[in-house]
Amino acid sequence: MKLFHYIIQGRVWRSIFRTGLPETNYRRSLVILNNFFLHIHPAKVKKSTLKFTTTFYLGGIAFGLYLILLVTGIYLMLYYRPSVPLAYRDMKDLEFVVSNGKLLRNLHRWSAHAMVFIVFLHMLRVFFTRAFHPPKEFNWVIGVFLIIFTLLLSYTGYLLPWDQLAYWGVSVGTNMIKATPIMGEKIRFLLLGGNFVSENALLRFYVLHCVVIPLFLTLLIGVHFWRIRKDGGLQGDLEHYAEYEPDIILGKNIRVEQRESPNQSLVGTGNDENK
Amino acid sequence: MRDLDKQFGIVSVLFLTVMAISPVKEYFRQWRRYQHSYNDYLQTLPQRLSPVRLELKQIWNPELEVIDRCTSCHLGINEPALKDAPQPFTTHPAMYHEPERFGCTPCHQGQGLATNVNESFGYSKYWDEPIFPRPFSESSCGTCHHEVPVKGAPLLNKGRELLVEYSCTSCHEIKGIGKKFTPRLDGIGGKVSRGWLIRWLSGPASVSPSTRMPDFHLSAEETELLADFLMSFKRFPEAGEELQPLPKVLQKDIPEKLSERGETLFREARCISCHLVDGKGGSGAQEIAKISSKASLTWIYNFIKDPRRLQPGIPMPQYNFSPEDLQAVTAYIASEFVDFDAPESADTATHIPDPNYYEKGLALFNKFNCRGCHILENVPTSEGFGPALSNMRQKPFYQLEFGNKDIPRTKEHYIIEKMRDPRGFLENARMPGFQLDEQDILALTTALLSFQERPVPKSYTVEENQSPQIPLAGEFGQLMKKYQCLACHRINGNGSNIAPDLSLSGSKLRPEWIRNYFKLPYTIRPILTERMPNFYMSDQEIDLLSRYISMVLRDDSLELKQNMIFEQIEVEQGRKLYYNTFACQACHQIGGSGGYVGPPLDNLSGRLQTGWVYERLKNPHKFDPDVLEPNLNLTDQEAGALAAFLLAEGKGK
Repeated sequence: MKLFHYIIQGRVWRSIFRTGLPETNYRRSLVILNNFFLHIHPAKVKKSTLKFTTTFYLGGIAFGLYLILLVTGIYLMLYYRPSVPLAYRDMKDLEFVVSNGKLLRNLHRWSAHAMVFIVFLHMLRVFFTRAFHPPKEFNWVIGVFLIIFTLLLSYTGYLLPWDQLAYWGVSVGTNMIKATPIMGEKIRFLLLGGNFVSENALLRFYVLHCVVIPLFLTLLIGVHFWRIRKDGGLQGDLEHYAEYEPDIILGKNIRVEQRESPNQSLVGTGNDENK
Repeated sequence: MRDLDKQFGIVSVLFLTVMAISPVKEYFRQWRRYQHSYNDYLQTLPQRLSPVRLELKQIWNPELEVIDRCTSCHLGINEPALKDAPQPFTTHPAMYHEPERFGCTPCHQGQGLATNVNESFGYSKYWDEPIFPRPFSESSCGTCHHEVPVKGAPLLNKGRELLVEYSCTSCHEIKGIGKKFTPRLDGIGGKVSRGWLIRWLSGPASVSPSTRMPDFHLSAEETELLADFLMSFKRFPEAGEELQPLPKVLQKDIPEKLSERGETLFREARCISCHLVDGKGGSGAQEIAKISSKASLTWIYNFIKDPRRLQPGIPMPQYNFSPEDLQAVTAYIASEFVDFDAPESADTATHIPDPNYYEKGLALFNKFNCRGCHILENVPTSEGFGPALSNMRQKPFYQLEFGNKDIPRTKEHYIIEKMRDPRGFLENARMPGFQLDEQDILALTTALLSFQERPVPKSYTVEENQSPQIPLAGEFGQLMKKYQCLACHRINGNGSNIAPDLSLSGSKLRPEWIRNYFKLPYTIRPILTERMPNFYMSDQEIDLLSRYISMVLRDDSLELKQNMIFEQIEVEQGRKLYYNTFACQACHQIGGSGGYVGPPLDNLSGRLQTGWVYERLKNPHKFDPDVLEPNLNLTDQEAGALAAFLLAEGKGK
């Protein structure tokens, strides 16, 4: 016990966990604000928004799937080589030889399917609960980009097994791109690295799938979460904001001048308290 | 709160259980079970065999792109003691390649990467090359072995021969496969009658049962159009436009005497060595029992006179008949080889062809790619070829069109059905029907499944035995062409296998015997159908041929023993060896007694040279590896004695 006290009172501990045990609301908000991983979260959350039926946790589930995909994807990168003679064979090795390889690959595959589905449901939920109304209109736009990136990840991953389904799927898809006016041919050439689906296309899709799109997706997920917090946290119906006024305490660094939304008064309260 | 804890607990346990499924499945994999039962099985055997280590086994050959894990379960393929063990532990039957180097899938196909039964057999949606059914396994030999013939693969060899025989490459591209001679159609209008042509086109096999020409299943209208089109070609551009007119004797009633003389000549010339007449004769050439009802007498006369003037490339020899003899043979053919059952072709005179018969006939000619086999002047090459078959083994499954056929969806069933019913899969298919029996179809399927475009490393392939072309130049070359020696004989790898190989005949045969033989050929092996014809060569030609053979076609290493002198005691020793020790009379005859399998050995000294007889006795397979005679491993002394006996025996009588 002595040792425990020694550790938590020591300089190292306190330099990492600066706030100590949160006993007041102020302290509680500090815990959130001072932590890199938690600061993306609103300092305080309205209790009603935590109800399952408010959001169905769809955004959170999508993020969880994203994490699973990230981890399994990195594992798969250890076994998969994006070249024509090896790609399908590596797939077979994952199935037959790599320990738990089938689980790994199926986790990646089914999580990917689920993510597309869940992200779509998430969008529907946001739409039908009017959660895209100002001030959240910008976050809606980011969300649209996120769903596009999710679909692109799905599509680029589709080619990687290099089987007939993949080959024809991508052949058809890229032929559809060709129908784009004026620059269709160019885009297709750029995407495939040639005029038909070949080793270049495989390599390009691999790089897109494993590096480029995940990078943008991760960045946009960060912005998306940050925007939620900046726009007043998760909520169901903005028009009822006023009624729950006492429950809502917003982050102190929201600036009044920027707010022209119906809940301007709420922002005011937040600022008052921080003075 | 309590509830939440409980829920969390339950969910956690469930999650762990789910996560444990994969490692557990991993542990109970099929191949591990087989390795356990293999080790258990070894315990039950009387002899002691060392158990295998429990691990995934694989054969890796990067050159062949082989990664085969079959040996993870097939653990006894190299263990002769496991001949009667249950599968998958049984010993592999006769193996021509060591599995450690070649792996399994180059021969068997299937999915070598897989580690369970269903997947490794490859009957899976995700593998294009399922394991080969046993009847076709020889086709795997053909992927690397391009030599002729491939040992131990009779079906493959037969299939490849049939591909050449039926000139499949006329329509289908198949790399490395040649074509048989097919007649050109120039001047066909001046050769055959329209009535015959119509009967022929509406079913070649009904006219000549042994024909190689397939049935194109033409409608009556198409047959008429094509016949009119073909009958319009009356010129012989290769033969200086016109046929030589028939001699006066043959123009009117043919005198019986002439015809009788022709019959004698026909026999002496051994025409039935190649031509089938009334069920007798060889299969090397066309059946001619009804030839006079097919071709005009003028054409027959011109053809026998110089076959290659009318049909360049035909393997028929040009007989050295005198003008009278030629008339006699033609007369015999005209009077005897008539189809008395042929329906009267009365319509020839009254028939009025369709006004556009030429265009329509040409369209049909091109549609069915007649040009693929038959050259016809002025007709441009048609593009309507069938699919290339060079990659049949690797042809993606989805490219096969099964139509409404109720057959198993496998490549081999597809090929078999395609040959049984060539137009069954698609309505507008044009492939004609060949006369194939089931064994032919099996052989062809085997051969077709051996063609692949996937490159095999050079060090793994056996190429076709390339022999240097012998130059057929000069006077000798002219004679070889005239008499078509290579249509039956073989010289240094060129030519046919019907008659003896002549490559070393200068060392084998005595010059005076060769000379006499050309004058009056006789048969050495009476049981054969194909016999050396009498070409009625001139003395000058005989002189040239026999001198060339004696001087050029020889092997100097056989010279040394030429002058061996045998003593009487050796002859007696040899007699004992011949009759008692080796019982050669079981197959050979001397003085009329003995077997029929080998040739008679009378009068050898007049025919064969000593050195050759000695070498042949020492090793019968030295000159022809496929000869039936057993290698008796004679000592020098025994061989000498036997040679002495054989050569002396002939001399005395």
